[in-house]
Amino acid sequence: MNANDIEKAERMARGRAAIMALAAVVLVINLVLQYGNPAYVSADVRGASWLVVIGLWLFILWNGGGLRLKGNMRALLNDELSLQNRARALSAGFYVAVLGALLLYALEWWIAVGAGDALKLVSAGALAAALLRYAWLEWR
Amino acid sequence: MVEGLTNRLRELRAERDLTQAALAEAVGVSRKTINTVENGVFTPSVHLALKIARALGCPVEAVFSLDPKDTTT
Repeated sequence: MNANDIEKAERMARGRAAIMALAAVVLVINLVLQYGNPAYVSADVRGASWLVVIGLWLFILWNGGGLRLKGNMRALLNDELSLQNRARALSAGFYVAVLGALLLYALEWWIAVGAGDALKLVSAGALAAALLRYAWLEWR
Repeated sequence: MVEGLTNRLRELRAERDLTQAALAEAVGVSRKTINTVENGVFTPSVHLALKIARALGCPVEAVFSLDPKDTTT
């Protein structure tokens, strides 16, 4: 490990945080655009794409990404501070998921929300919150 | 930072003429980690605290200490 590695890891960590923030925004925009449209929750490729997108970002959030990087660079990118930031981000996502589910439960008393849309709201809300929280913690 | 915990990392690093990046390199963490420890934003694990102290060539108590006002045991 040398000074260049430290600098490179710092740039990559900032880039990763920026990509995560962007992903969160795209996720929310997608959700808004697709809300109420049965085509996006049907049992076909379009409906399944949601599973892939959420699964992919959850995986990246869980392991930090950069799987193709060398061991020392991955260690720098996922050092103690980064791991703590990810843990805090996942914790934020968990609270948003539970609160979102409670909100939807109450909302159902007045407005009909389809199961597919409700699950997308909860999963996207939780993931977007976790991604944004991580980006913010990494940037500050 | 955990309340009641202080550190002299910045001071000790400056005494040794080490940059944050150089200390980060010696310890094997990112520069941001060293920066957040110095600013009290991040409390390192015992493992990392010991590595920082070793890199600075001093006992861990010289780097991290309890606030003298904290009298709890």
